[in-house]
Amino acid sequence: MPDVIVTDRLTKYYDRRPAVNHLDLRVPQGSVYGLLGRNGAGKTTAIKMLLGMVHADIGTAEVLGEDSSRLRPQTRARIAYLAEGHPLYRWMKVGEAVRFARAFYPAWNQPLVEQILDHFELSPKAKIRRLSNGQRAQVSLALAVAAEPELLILDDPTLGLDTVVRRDFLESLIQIIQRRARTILFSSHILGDVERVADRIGILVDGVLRVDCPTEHFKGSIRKLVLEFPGPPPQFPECVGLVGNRQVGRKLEAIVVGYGEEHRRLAESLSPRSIEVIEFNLEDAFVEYTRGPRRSLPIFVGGEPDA
Amino acid sequence: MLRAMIAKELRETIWIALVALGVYLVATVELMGYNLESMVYMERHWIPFASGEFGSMFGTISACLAMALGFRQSIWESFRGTWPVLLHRPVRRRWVMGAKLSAGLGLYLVTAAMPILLYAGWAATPGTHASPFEWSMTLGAWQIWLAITGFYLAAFLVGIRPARWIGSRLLPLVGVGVLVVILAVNRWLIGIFILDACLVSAIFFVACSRDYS
Repeated sequence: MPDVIVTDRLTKYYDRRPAVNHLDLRVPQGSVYGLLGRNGAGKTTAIKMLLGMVHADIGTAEVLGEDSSRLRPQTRARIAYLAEGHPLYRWMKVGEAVRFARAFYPAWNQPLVEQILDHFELSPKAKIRRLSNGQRAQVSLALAVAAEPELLILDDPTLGLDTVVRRDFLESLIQIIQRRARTILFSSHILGDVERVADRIGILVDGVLRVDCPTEHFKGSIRKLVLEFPGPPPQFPECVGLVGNRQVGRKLEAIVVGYGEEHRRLAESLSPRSIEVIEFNLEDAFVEYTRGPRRSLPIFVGGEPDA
Repeated sequence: MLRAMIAKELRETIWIALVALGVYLVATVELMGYNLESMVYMERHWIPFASGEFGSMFGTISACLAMALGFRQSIWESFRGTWPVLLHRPVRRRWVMGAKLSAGLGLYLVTAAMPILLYAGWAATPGTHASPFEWSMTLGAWQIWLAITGFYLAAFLVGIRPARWIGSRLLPLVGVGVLVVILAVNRWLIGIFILDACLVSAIFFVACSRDYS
Protein backbone atom coordinates (compact mmCIF):
# COMPACT_ATOMS: atom_id res chain seq x y z
CA MET A 1 0.00 0.00 0.00
CA PRO A 2 1.43 3.43 -0.87
CA ASP A 3 1.67 6.06 1.84
CA VAL A 4 -0.99 8.76 1.68
CA ILE A 5 0.81 11.01 4.16
CA VAL A 6 4.58 11.26 4.32
CA THR A 7 6.43 13.81 6.43
CA ASP A 8 10.14 14.34 6.63
CA ARG A 9 11.65 16.15 9.63
CA LEU A 10 8.56 18.34 9.84
CA THR A 11 9.22 21.03 12.42
CA LYS A 12 7.38 24.11 13.66
CA TYR A 13 8.61 26.57 16.26
CA TYR A 14 6.46 28.87 18.35
CA ASP A 15 8.43 31.35 20.46
CA ARG A 16 11.63 29.43 19.73
CA ARG A 17 10.08 26.32 21.26
CA PRO A 18 9.38 23.42 18.92
CA ALA A 19 5.65 22.66 18.84
CA VAL A 20 6.38 19.85 16.40
CA ASN A 21 9.91 18.54 16.25
CA HIS A 22 11.34 16.54 13.33
CA LEU A 23 8.15 14.62 12.68
CA ASP A 24 8.66 11.64 10.38
CA LEU A 25 5.23 10.21 9.77
CA ARG A 26 3.93 7.70 7.25
CA VAL A 27 0.26 6.88 6.96
CA PRO A 28 -0.43 3.97 4.62
CA GLN A 29 -3.41 4.09 2.28
CA GLY A 30 -6.54 2.51 3.75
CA SER A 31 -5.32 2.69 7.33
CA VAL A 32 -6.90 4.38 10.32
CA TYR A 33 -4.14 6.22 12.11
CA GLY A 34 -4.65 7.62 15.60
CA LEU A 35 -2.38 10.52 16.48
CA LEU A 36 -2.20 10.74 20.24
CA GLY A 37 -0.68 13.12 22.69
CA ARG A 38 -1.45 15.16 25.76
CA ASN A 39 -2.73 18.73 25.47
CA GLY A 40 -0.10 20.87 23.76
CA ALA A 41 1.80 17.88 22.41
CA GLY A 42 1.62 19.27 18.87
CA LYS A 43 -1.21 17.22 17.33
CA THR A 44 -3.20 20.15 15.96
CA THR A 45 -0.10 21.93 14.68
CA ALA A 46 1.00 18.76 12.90
CA ILE A 47 -2.43 18.34 11.31
CA LYS A 48 -2.52 21.99 10.23
CA MET A 49 0.88 21.61 8.61
CA LEU A 50 -0.44 18.60 6.70
CA LEU A 51 -3.24 20.78 5.36
CA GLY A 52 -1.05 23.77 4.55
CA MET A 53 -2.73 25.97 7.17
CA VAL A 54 0.51 26.31 9.09
CA HIS A 55 3.87 26.64 7.36
CA ALA A 56 6.66 24.34 8.51
CA ASP A 57 9.93 25.94 9.63
CA ILE A 58 11.92 22.84 8.70
CA GLY A 59 11.07 19.71 6.75
CA THR A 60 8.42 18.73 4.27
CA ALA A 61 5.05 17.02 4.19
CA GLU A 62 3.40 15.27 1.28
CA VAL A 63 -0.31 14.51 1.26
CA LEU A 64 -1.74 12.41 -1.57
CA GLY A 65 1.61 12.82 -3.31
CA GLU A 66 1.62 16.62 -3.20
CA ASP A 67 3.57 19.13 -1.17
CA SER A 68 1.15 20.03 1.62
CA SER A 69 2.11 23.71 1.54
CA ARG A 70 0.98 23.93 -2.10
CA LEU A 71 -2.06 21.69 -2.30
CA ARG A 72 -3.97 22.21 -5.53
CA PRO A 73 -7.76 22.70 -5.24
CA GLN A 74 -8.29 19.34 -6.99
CA THR A 75 -6.20 17.62 -4.30
CA ARG A 76 -7.90 19.51 -1.51
CA ALA A 77 -11.24 18.22 -2.84
CA ARG A 78 -9.97 14.68 -2.12
CA ILE A 79 -9.25 15.52 1.53
CA ALA A 80 -11.92 16.06 4.17
CA TYR A 81 -10.98 17.96 7.29
CA LEU A 82 -12.88 18.17 10.54
CA ALA A 83 -11.37 20.98 12.57
CA GLU A 84 -11.20 20.86 16.35
CA GLY A 85 -14.44 22.04 17.94
CA HIS A 86 -16.38 21.61 14.68
CA PRO A 87 -16.46 25.26 13.65
CA LEU A 88 -19.46 25.99 11.46
CA TYR A 89 -21.23 29.22 10.55
CA ARG A 90 -23.63 29.49 13.44
CA TRP A 91 -26.13 31.70 11.64
CA MET A 92 -26.72 29.05 9.00
CA LYS A 93 -29.36 26.37 9.12
CA VAL A 94 -28.21 22.81 8.55
CA GLY A 95 -29.64 22.89 5.03
CA GLU A 96 -27.82 26.16 4.28
CA ALA A 97 -24.53 24.69 5.51
CA VAL A 98 -25.07 21.73 3.17
CA ARG A 99 -25.87 24.01 0.20
CA PHE A 100 -22.84 26.20 0.95
CA ALA A 101 -20.45 23.23 1.12
CA ARG A 102 -22.03 21.52 -1.91
CA ALA A 103 -21.23 24.50 -4.12
CA PHE A 104 -17.51 23.73 -3.85
CA TYR A 105 -17.47 20.00 -4.60
CA PRO A 106 -18.17 18.50 -8.03
CA ALA A 107 -18.43 14.96 -6.61
CA TRP A 108 -20.88 15.91 -3.87
CA ASN A 109 -23.02 12.98 -2.73
CA GLN A 110 -26.32 14.60 -1.76
CA PRO A 111 -28.21 11.32 -1.04
CA LEU A 112 -25.42 10.36 1.36
CA VAL A 113 -25.53 13.63 3.29
CA GLU A 114 -29.32 13.35 3.53
CA GLN A 115 -28.98 9.78 4.73
CA ILE A 116 -26.46 10.76 7.42
CA LEU A 117 -28.53 13.74 8.59
CA ASP A 118 -31.58 11.51 8.68
CA HIS A 119 -29.66 8.89 10.68
CA PHE A 120 -28.70 11.54 13.24
CA GLU A 121 -32.26 12.94 13.17
CA LEU A 122 -31.03 16.37 12.14
CA SER A 123 -33.53 18.57 10.37
CA PRO A 124 -32.21 20.72 7.50
CA LYS A 125 -34.24 23.54 9.04
CA ALA A 126 -32.41 23.35 12.38
CA LYS A 127 -30.30 26.40 13.22
CA ILE A 128 -26.68 25.49 13.76
CA ARG A 129 -26.35 27.84 16.73
CA ARG A 130 -29.09 25.87 18.49
CA LEU A 131 -27.38 22.51 17.99
CA SER A 132 -25.45 20.77 20.74
CA ASN A 133 -21.72 20.05 20.38
CA GLY A 134 -22.56 16.50 19.43
CA GLN A 135 -25.02 17.54 16.75
CA ARG A 136 -22.52 20.00 15.30
CA ALA A 137 -19.99 17.17 15.14
CA GLN A 138 -22.55 15.10 13.28
CA VAL A 139 -23.23 17.89 10.78
CA SER A 140 -19.48 18.33 10.26
CA LEU A 141 -19.07 14.62 9.65
CA ALA A 142 -21.94 14.57 7.15
CA LEU A 143 -20.46 17.55 5.27
CA ALA A 144 -17.00 15.98 5.25
CA VAL A 145 -18.11 12.62 3.99
CA ALA A 146 -20.52 13.91 1.34
CA ALA A 147 -17.57 15.28 -0.62
CA GLU A 148 -16.48 11.65 -1.17
CA PRO A 149 -12.91 12.21 0.08
CA GLU A 150 -10.12 9.66 -0.15
CA LEU A 151 -8.51 10.96 3.02
CA LEU A 152 -10.23 12.17 6.18
CA ILE A 153 -8.24 14.23 8.65
CA LEU A 154 -10.08 14.67 11.93
CA ASP A 155 -8.72 16.87 14.68
CA ASP A 156 -10.01 15.62 18.00
CA PRO A 157 -13.47 14.90 16.55
CA THR A 158 -14.98 13.59 19.78
CA LEU A 159 -13.77 16.39 22.03
CA GLY A 160 -16.58 17.69 24.22
CA LEU A 161 -19.06 14.98 23.25
CA ASP A 162 -20.82 12.86 25.83
CA THR A 163 -20.28 9.10 25.91
CA VAL A 164 -23.41 8.14 23.98
CA VAL A 165 -22.90 10.71 21.22
CA ARG A 166 -19.23 9.78 21.02
CA ARG A 167 -20.06 6.12 20.58
CA ASP A 168 -22.65 6.97 17.91
CA PHE A 169 -20.17 9.23 16.13
CA LEU A 170 -17.49 6.55 16.12
CA GLU A 171 -19.86 3.88 14.88
CA SER A 172 -20.76 6.16 11.98
CA LEU A 173 -17.08 6.68 11.36
CA ILE A 174 -16.50 2.92 11.27
CA GLN A 175 -19.33 2.54 8.75
CA ILE A 176 -17.76 5.23 6.62
CA ILE A 177 -14.40 3.49 6.75
CA GLN A 178 -15.95 0.19 5.78
CA ARG A 179 -17.94 1.74 2.95
CA ARG A 180 -14.78 2.41 1.01
CA ALA A 181 -11.14 1.85 1.77
CA ARG A 182 -10.62 5.38 2.99
CA THR A 183 -7.60 6.56 4.88
CA ILE A 184 -8.29 8.31 8.16
CA LEU A 185 -5.91 10.28 10.31
CA PHE A 186 -7.40 11.44 13.54
CA SER A 187 -6.05 12.99 16.66
CA SER A 188 -7.54 12.40 20.05
CA HIS A 189 -6.77 12.12 23.69
CA ILE A 190 -9.72 9.86 24.38
CA LEU A 191 -7.92 6.56 24.17
CA GLY A 192 -11.01 4.38 24.21
CA ASP A 193 -12.05 5.98 20.92
CA VAL A 194 -8.68 5.38 19.36
CA GLU A 195 -8.61 1.79 20.53
CA ARG A 196 -11.99 1.21 18.92
CA VAL A 197 -11.11 2.43 15.43
CA ALA A 198 -7.38 2.91 14.89
CA ASP A 199 -5.22 0.15 13.53
CA ARG A 200 -2.04 2.16 13.95
CA ILE A 201 -1.06 4.88 16.41
CA GLY A 202 1.52 7.58 16.77
CA ILE A 203 2.22 9.28 20.09
CA LEU A 204 3.56 12.81 20.21
CA VAL A 205 5.37 13.85 23.37
CA ASP A 206 6.42 17.52 23.44
CA GLY A 207 6.23 17.67 19.67
CA VAL A 208 8.36 14.57 19.13
CA LEU A 209 6.89 11.39 17.68
CA ARG A 210 7.86 8.81 20.28
CA VAL A 211 5.68 5.96 19.11
CA ASP A 212 4.61 4.87 15.65
CA CYS A 213 3.34 1.31 15.48
CA PRO A 214 0.22 -0.85 15.28
CA THR A 215 -2.14 -0.26 18.21
CA GLU A 216 -1.89 -3.82 19.46
CA HIS A 217 1.89 -3.70 19.30
CA PHE A 218 1.96 -0.66 21.58
CA LYS A 219 -0.44 -2.15 24.10
CA GLY A 220 1.54 -5.37 24.12
CA SER A 221 4.84 -3.57 24.65
CA ILE A 222 4.05 -1.76 27.89
CA ARG A 223 4.05 -3.74 31.13
CA LYS A 224 3.86 -2.84 34.77
CA LEU A 225 5.99 -4.93 37.11
CA VAL A 226 4.73 -4.97 40.68
CA LEU A 227 7.35 -6.24 43.09
CA GLU A 228 6.40 -6.81 46.73
CA PHE A 229 9.07 -6.66 49.44
CA PRO A 230 9.01 -7.52 53.14
CA GLY A 231 10.39 -4.06 53.99
CA PRO A 232 10.90 -0.73 52.18
CA PRO A 233 11.36 -1.42 48.46
CA PRO A 234 14.59 -0.50 46.63
CA GLN A 235 14.82 1.46 43.35
CA PHE A 236 14.42 -0.51 40.14
CA PRO A 237 17.83 -0.72 38.40
CA GLU A 238 18.33 1.52 35.36
CA CYS A 239 17.85 -0.46 32.18
CA VAL A 240 16.76 -0.13 28.58
CA GLY A 241 12.99 0.31 28.34
CA LEU A 242 12.41 1.56 31.88
CA VAL A 243 9.91 4.41 31.65
CA GLY A 244 9.44 5.00 35.35
CA ASN A 245 9.28 3.39 38.76
CA ARG A 246 7.63 4.34 42.01
CA GLN A 247 7.33 2.98 45.50
CA VAL A 248 3.88 2.35 46.91
CA GLY A 249 4.18 1.14 50.51
CA ARG A 250 6.09 -2.13 50.37
CA LYS A 251 5.56 -2.42 46.66
CA LEU A 252 7.76 -1.24 43.82
CA GLU A 253 6.00 -0.50 40.54
CA ALA A 254 8.12 -0.31 37.38
CA ILE A 255 6.81 0.60 33.94
CA VAL A 256 8.81 -0.95 31.13
CA VAL A 257 8.60 -0.88 27.38
CA GLY A 258 9.48 -4.02 25.44
CA TYR A 259 9.25 -6.25 28.48
CA GLY A 260 11.58 -9.22 28.20
CA GLU A 261 13.87 -11.66 29.92
CA GLU A 262 16.34 -8.97 31.00
CA HIS A 263 13.65 -7.04 32.89
CA ARG A 264 12.53 -10.25 34.58
CA ARG A 265 16.12 -11.05 35.58
CA LEU A 266 16.64 -7.55 36.99
CA ALA A 267 13.41 -7.81 38.96
CA GLU A 268 14.43 -11.15 40.40
CA SER A 269 17.86 -9.76 41.33
CA LEU A 270 16.11 -7.49 43.85
CA SER A 271 14.83 -10.61 45.68
CA PRO A 272 11.21 -9.50 46.06
CA ARG A 273 8.61 -11.60 47.87
CA SER A 274 6.51 -11.70 44.68
CA ILE A 275 6.58 -10.40 41.09
CA GLU A 276 3.43 -9.58 39.18
CA VAL A 277 3.45 -8.58 35.49
CA ILE A 278 0.41 -6.50 34.51
CA GLU A 279 -0.76 -5.82 30.95
CA PHE A 280 -2.49 -2.57 30.08
CA ASN A 281 -5.34 -1.43 27.93
CA LEU A 282 -4.44 1.41 25.53
CA GLU A 283 -5.51 4.16 27.89
CA ASP A 284 -3.46 2.93 30.83
CA ALA A 285 -0.51 2.17 28.54
CA PHE A 286 -0.66 5.71 27.15
CA VAL A 287 -0.93 7.31 30.61
CA GLU A 288 1.97 5.33 32.03
CA TYR A 289 4.05 5.87 28.94
CA THR A 290 3.60 9.62 28.66
CA ARG A 291 3.96 10.50 32.33
CA GLY A 292 7.36 8.89 32.76
CA PRO A 293 10.62 10.89 32.72
CA ARG A 294 10.48 12.05 29.12
CA ARG A 295 14.13 12.14 28.25
CA SER A 296 14.52 8.46 28.86
CA LEU A 297 11.44 7.49 26.88
CA PRO A 298 12.27 4.68 24.54
CA ILE A 299 11.38 5.29 20.91
CA PHE A 300 9.96 2.47 18.94
CA VAL A 301 9.04 4.11 15.72
CA GLY A 302 8.52 1.52 13.01
CA GLY A 303 7.04 -1.63 14.48
CA GLU A 304 5.26 -3.90 12.09
CA PRO A 305 3.19 -1.62 9.85
CA ASP A 306 1.04 -4.34 8.42
CA ALA A 307 0.99 -6.60 11.46
CA MET B 1 -19.36 28.46 -6.08
CA LEU B 2 -18.75 32.22 -6.32
CA ARG B 3 -22.47 32.84 -5.82
CA ALA B 4 -22.51 30.73 -2.66
CA MET B 5 -19.46 32.54 -1.30
CA ILE B 6 -20.79 36.03 -2.13
CA ALA B 7 -24.20 35.12 -0.68
CA LYS B 8 -22.53 33.97 2.56
CA GLU B 9 -20.51 37.18 2.82
CA LEU B 10 -23.53 39.39 2.13
CA ARG B 11 -25.67 37.47 4.61
CA GLU B 12 -23.04 38.07 7.30
CA THR B 13 -22.57 41.78 6.61
CA ILE B 14 -25.90 43.07 5.35
CA TRP B 15 -26.95 44.16 8.86
CA ILE B 16 -23.96 46.51 9.05
CA ALA B 17 -25.05 48.09 5.77
CA LEU B 18 -28.63 48.44 7.03
CA VAL B 19 -27.49 50.14 10.24
CA ALA B 20 -25.28 52.47 8.19
CA LEU B 21 -28.17 53.27 5.84
CA GLY B 22 -30.28 54.24 8.84
CA VAL B 23 -27.55 56.55 10.16
CA TYR B 24 -26.98 58.05 6.69
CA LEU B 25 -30.70 58.67 6.33
CA VAL B 26 -31.04 60.47 9.67
CA ALA B 27 -27.92 62.60 9.04
CA THR B 28 -28.87 63.44 5.44
CA VAL B 29 -32.42 64.39 6.36
CA GLU B 30 -30.98 66.65 9.09
CA LEU B 31 -28.75 68.30 6.47
CA MET B 32 -31.79 68.92 4.31
CA GLY B 33 -33.27 70.93 7.15
CA TYR B 34 -35.74 68.49 8.68
CA ASN B 35 -35.41 68.24 12.43
CA LEU B 36 -36.37 64.69 13.23
CA GLU B 37 -36.99 65.38 16.94
CA SER B 38 -39.44 68.24 16.50
CA MET B 39 -40.49 67.25 12.96
CA VAL B 40 -40.03 70.89 11.96
CA TYR B 41 -38.45 72.07 8.71
CA MET B 42 -35.79 74.77 9.10
CA GLU B 43 -34.21 76.07 5.93
CA ARG B 44 -30.43 75.63 5.83
CA HIS B 45 -28.30 78.50 4.63
CA TRP B 46 -25.60 76.53 2.93
CA ILE B 47 -25.04 75.34 -0.60
CA PRO B 48 -25.47 71.58 -0.90
CA PHE B 49 -22.14 69.73 -1.43
CA ALA B 50 -20.22 73.02 -1.77
CA SER B 51 -20.20 74.01 1.90
CA GLY B 52 -18.51 70.88 3.22
CA GLU B 53 -21.18 69.80 5.74
CA PHE B 54 -22.16 66.79 3.68
CA GLY B 55 -18.55 65.78 3.05
CA SER B 56 -17.59 65.62 6.74
CA MET B 57 -20.78 63.81 7.75
CA PHE B 58 -20.53 61.41 4.83
CA GLY B 59 -16.81 60.79 5.32
CA THR B 60 -17.19 59.98 9.02
CA ILE B 61 -20.11 57.56 8.62
CA SER B 62 -18.58 55.94 5.52
CA ALA B 63 -15.25 55.37 7.25
CA CYS B 64 -17.06 53.66 10.14
CA LEU B 65 -19.10 51.56 7.71
CA ALA B 66 -16.03 50.57 5.69
CA MET B 67 -14.02 49.60 8.77
CA ALA B 68 -16.92 47.66 10.28
CA LEU B 69 -17.28 45.68 7.05
CA GLY B 70 -13.55 45.02 6.78
CA PHE B 71 -13.25 43.84 10.37
CA ARG B 72 -16.41 41.74 10.21
CA GLN B 73 -15.19 39.88 7.15
CA SER B 74 -11.71 39.17 8.44
CA ILE B 75 -11.27 39.15 12.19
CA TRP B 76 -14.66 37.52 12.77
CA GLU B 77 -13.52 34.37 10.97
CA SER B 78 -10.61 34.20 13.42
CA PHE B 79 -12.88 34.74 16.45
CA ARG B 80 -15.24 32.01 15.32
CA GLY B 81 -12.42 29.69 14.26
CA THR B 82 -13.95 29.29 10.82
CA TRP B 83 -10.85 30.06 8.72
CA PRO B 84 -9.93 26.35 8.49
CA VAL B 85 -13.44 25.52 7.24
CA LEU B 86 -13.24 28.20 4.59
CA LEU B 87 -9.64 27.75 3.54
CA HIS B 88 -9.91 24.01 3.18
CA ARG B 89 -12.48 24.44 0.40
CA PRO B 90 -11.06 23.26 -2.92
CA VAL B 91 -10.27 26.75 -4.17
CA ARG B 92 -7.17 28.88 -4.02
CA ARG B 93 -6.67 31.14 -1.03
CA ARG B 94 -6.56 34.16 -3.32
CA TRP B 95 -9.97 33.15 -4.67
CA VAL B 96 -11.44 33.09 -1.14
CA MET B 97 -9.99 36.51 -0.34
CA GLY B 98 -10.99 37.88 -3.74
CA ALA B 99 -14.59 36.75 -3.22
CA LYS B 100 -14.67 38.29 0.23
CA LEU B 101 -13.23 41.59 -1.00
CA SER B 102 -15.64 41.71 -3.95
CA ALA B 103 -18.65 41.22 -1.66
CA GLY B 104 -17.41 43.70 0.95
CA LEU B 105 -16.36 46.39 -1.50
CA GLY B 106 -19.55 45.97 -3.51
CA LEU B 107 -21.69 46.30 -0.41
CA TYR B 108 -19.76 49.37 0.75
CA LEU B 109 -19.95 51.08 -2.63
CA VAL B 110 -23.69 50.48 -3.03
CA THR B 111 -24.56 51.45 0.55
CA ALA B 112 -22.41 54.58 0.60
CA ALA B 113 -23.73 55.71 -2.78
CA MET B 114 -27.26 55.96 -1.37
CA PRO B 115 -26.87 59.13 0.74
CA ILE B 116 -25.04 60.92 -2.09
CA LEU B 117 -27.86 60.09 -4.49
CA LEU B 118 -30.50 61.02 -1.91
CA TYR B 119 -28.91 64.37 -1.05
CA ALA B 120 -28.15 65.15 -4.69
CA GLY B 121 -31.69 64.20 -5.70
CA TRP B 122 -33.07 66.54 -3.05
CA ALA B 123 -30.66 69.32 -4.07
CA ALA B 124 -31.60 68.88 -7.73
CA THR B 125 -35.30 69.17 -6.98
CA PRO B 126 -36.47 72.74 -7.61
CA GLY B 127 -37.86 74.61 -4.63
CA THR B 128 -36.01 72.72 -1.92
CA HIS B 129 -33.25 75.25 -1.24
CA ALA B 130 -32.22 78.75 -2.28
CA SER B 131 -28.95 78.00 -4.06
CA PRO B 132 -27.77 76.72 -7.42
CA PHE B 133 -27.06 73.05 -8.04
CA GLU B 134 -25.04 71.23 -10.70
CA TRP B 135 -24.43 67.49 -10.67
CA SER B 136 -20.73 68.22 -11.01
CA MET B 137 -20.91 69.62 -7.46
CA THR B 138 -21.23 66.01 -6.22
CA LEU B 139 -17.77 65.11 -7.56
CA GLY B 140 -16.08 65.74 -4.21
CA ALA B 141 -18.50 63.39 -2.43
CA TRP B 142 -17.88 60.70 -5.01
CA GLN B 143 -14.14 61.09 -4.48
CA ILE B 144 -14.57 60.63 -0.72
CA TRP B 145 -16.79 57.63 -1.50
CA LEU B 146 -14.00 56.11 -3.57
CA ALA B 147 -11.16 57.08 -1.23
CA ILE B 148 -12.82 55.39 1.75
CA THR B 149 -12.45 52.00 0.04
CA GLY B 150 -8.91 52.35 1.46
CA PHE B 151 -10.37 52.22 4.98
CA TYR B 152 -12.24 49.04 4.12
CA LEU B 153 -9.14 47.38 2.69
CA ALA B 154 -6.96 48.55 5.58
CA ALA B 155 -9.43 47.19 8.14
CA PHE B 156 -9.52 43.88 6.28
CA LEU B 157 -5.73 43.79 6.28
CA VAL B 158 -5.62 44.54 10.00
CA GLY B 159 -8.10 41.71 10.55
CA ILE B 160 -6.09 39.04 8.79
CA ARG B 161 -2.59 40.24 9.65
CA PRO B 162 -1.24 38.54 12.75
CA ALA B 163 0.42 40.90 15.21
CA ARG B 164 0.98 40.56 18.91
CA TRP B 165 0.60 44.15 19.94
CA ILE B 166 -2.57 46.10 19.24
CA GLY B 167 -0.46 49.12 18.23
CA SER B 168 1.43 47.28 15.52
CA ARG B 169 -1.76 45.50 14.50
CA LEU B 170 -3.55 48.80 13.88
CA LEU B 171 -0.58 50.34 12.10
CA PRO B 172 -1.93 49.80 8.54
CA LEU B 173 -5.22 51.41 9.49
CA VAL B 174 -3.58 54.51 10.93
CA GLY B 175 -1.22 54.86 7.95
CA VAL B 176 -3.98 54.38 5.41
CA GLY B 177 -6.25 56.75 7.33
CA VAL B 178 -3.72 59.57 6.95
CA LEU B 179 -3.21 58.76 3.26
CA VAL B 180 -6.94 58.56 2.54
CA VAL B 181 -7.53 62.00 4.06
CA ILE B 182 -4.66 63.47 2.01
CA LEU B 183 -5.88 61.81 -1.19
CA ALA B 184 -9.53 62.77 -0.65
CA VAL B 185 -8.72 66.39 0.21
CA ASN B 186 -6.35 66.79 -2.74
CA ARG B 187 -8.61 64.80 -5.07
CA TRP B 188 -5.80 62.54 -6.34
CA LEU B 189 -7.93 59.92 -8.01
CA ILE B 190 -4.98 57.97 -9.34
CA GLY B 191 -3.47 57.93 -5.84
CA ILE B 192 -6.62 56.27 -4.51
CA PHE B 193 -6.38 53.50 -7.10
CA ILE B 194 -2.66 52.98 -6.40
CA LEU B 195 -3.30 52.82 -2.63
CA ASP B 196 -6.14 50.31 -3.11
CA ALA B 197 -4.00 48.16 -5.42
CA CYS B 198 -1.21 48.13 -2.82
CA LEU B 199 -3.64 47.15 -0.07
CA VAL B 200 -5.19 44.35 -2.13
CA SER B 201 -1.71 43.00 -2.90
CA ALA B 202 -0.82 43.16 0.81
CA ILE B 203 -4.03 41.30 1.71
CA PHE B 204 -3.29 38.54 -0.81
CA PHE B 205 0.30 38.30 0.39
CA VAL B 206 -0.65 38.07 4.08
CA ALA B 207 -3.51 35.64 3.39
CA CYS B 208 -1.20 33.27 1.52
CA SER B 209 1.82 33.53 3.80
CA ARG B 210 0.37 33.64 7.31
CA ASP B 211 -0.30 30.66 9.57
CA TYR B 212 -3.88 29.81 10.50
CA SER B 213 -3.02 28.18 13.80
